[in-house]
Amino acid sequence: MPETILDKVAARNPGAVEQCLARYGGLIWSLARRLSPTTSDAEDAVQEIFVDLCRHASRFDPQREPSEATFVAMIARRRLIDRHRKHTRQVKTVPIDERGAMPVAMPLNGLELRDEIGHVRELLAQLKSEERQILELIFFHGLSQSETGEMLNMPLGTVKTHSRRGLLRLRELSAGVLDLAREGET
Amino acid sequence: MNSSYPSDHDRMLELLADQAIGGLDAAEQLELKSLLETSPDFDLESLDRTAAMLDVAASAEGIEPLPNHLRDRILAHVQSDSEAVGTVPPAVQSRSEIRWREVVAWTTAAACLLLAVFAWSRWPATTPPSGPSPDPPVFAGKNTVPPRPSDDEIVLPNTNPTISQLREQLLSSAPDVLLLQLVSDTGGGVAGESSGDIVWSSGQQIGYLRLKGSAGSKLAQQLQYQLWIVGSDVSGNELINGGVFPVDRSTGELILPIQASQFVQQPKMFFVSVEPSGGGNDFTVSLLAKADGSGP
Repeated sequence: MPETILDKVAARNPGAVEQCLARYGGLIWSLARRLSPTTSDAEDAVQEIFVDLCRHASRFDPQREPSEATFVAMIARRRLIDRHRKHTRQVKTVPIDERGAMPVAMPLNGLELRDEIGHVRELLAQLKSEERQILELIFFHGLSQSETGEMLNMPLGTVKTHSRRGLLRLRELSAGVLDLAREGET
Repeated sequence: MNSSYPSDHDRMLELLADQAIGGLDAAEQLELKSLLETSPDFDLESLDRTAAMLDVAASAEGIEPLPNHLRDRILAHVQSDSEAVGTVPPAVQSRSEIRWREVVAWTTAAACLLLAVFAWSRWPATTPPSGPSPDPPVFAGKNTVPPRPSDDEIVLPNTNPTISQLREQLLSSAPDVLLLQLVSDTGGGVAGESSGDIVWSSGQQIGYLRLKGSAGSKLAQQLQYQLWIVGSDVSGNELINGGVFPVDRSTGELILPIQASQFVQQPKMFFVSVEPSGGGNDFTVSLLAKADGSGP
């Protein structure tokens, strides 16, 4: 199995952190921008996330994680939620694009990621429409559950129920996809 | 848990899903912790992983490049962090906390200077010099500066108080100081063998966590402690990170400075969670103390 970037970071190979920043910096920065109240807070968050990544890089298990990017996003999401709850107590994201910066179409490179993204799209398509719509608003458009409820004119409790069920269903579906992929490898 | 409620397993899944989507409040975390004890083999990261897959898929819509100044800052920080890994808890890494450390450093330096001046001024005027020394200067014809002792006579004051001394100072000097005994939440296992206390001053926003017992055990050395503070303000309860403390000592008592990540308005409860070194969801709430003095 080829050495991953996180393997190199864990081994403290020269240049590994630079590689990690080059490959995942944009992903983490975009997540942080979406889930942070201010640009300054997003910058602090990204710094903390990279420190976390460097410390925990050895925990990446390619047998368990769909991809290195997913592991990176998982570390990032945890830290961002933790910071968000500490700072605001209520999950309410405020758009931080006051400067009008537009996202640049710079998708993550790597064929396996394109495959993974395709799989996730396929899995989303198997959800009930309400579940899919709510998860897309939360994850793809960066809305909080409260904002999602307002947008859909739906009680917060209903939004929570659909988002939970959707995520749990996706978990089951993705476990099946992973199992099939592993069977194909053996 | 009443019978009309979902099963414990379903409730655990609900909480794990909520945690992955937007996090949990303090009460929900405690509930999840309790439910997880009944399912020790469950893959706790599976829902976080699913949420992360959605994040990665969302990135296909287009992502912003990391700003260069931030990239440089991270590189510099990671480098310095890797040199101090194991000694610098993550909670001290934000810019605001670095500023706090600077304040502490300057305060310590000022205290050292004052102590040195105090020690100098208290040096007995009658102490004879042990060897030849230049005549002391005379001011206004009557006040003389005491002769400077030779180097081997000088006993420098201890200008670096230990953390234990700092804790005692806070206990004795802060009018609003709280001293709370940490009580075992589980009554068993590694965490159950620990005890400790919290010293906290809301006025000074500083405090110390003291852990005794199993902190020195072999198993505990593979763990890290995290202190949480449940505070309250006009808008309700808030959960504040009080710092992550890798256990890297073999002695039975640890005193650690509390590193609250934000202002603690009115502490209601402190609790210590234990998790594997490196983090993760597999944590256990081991010790807690309520500011109103009631038990867990």
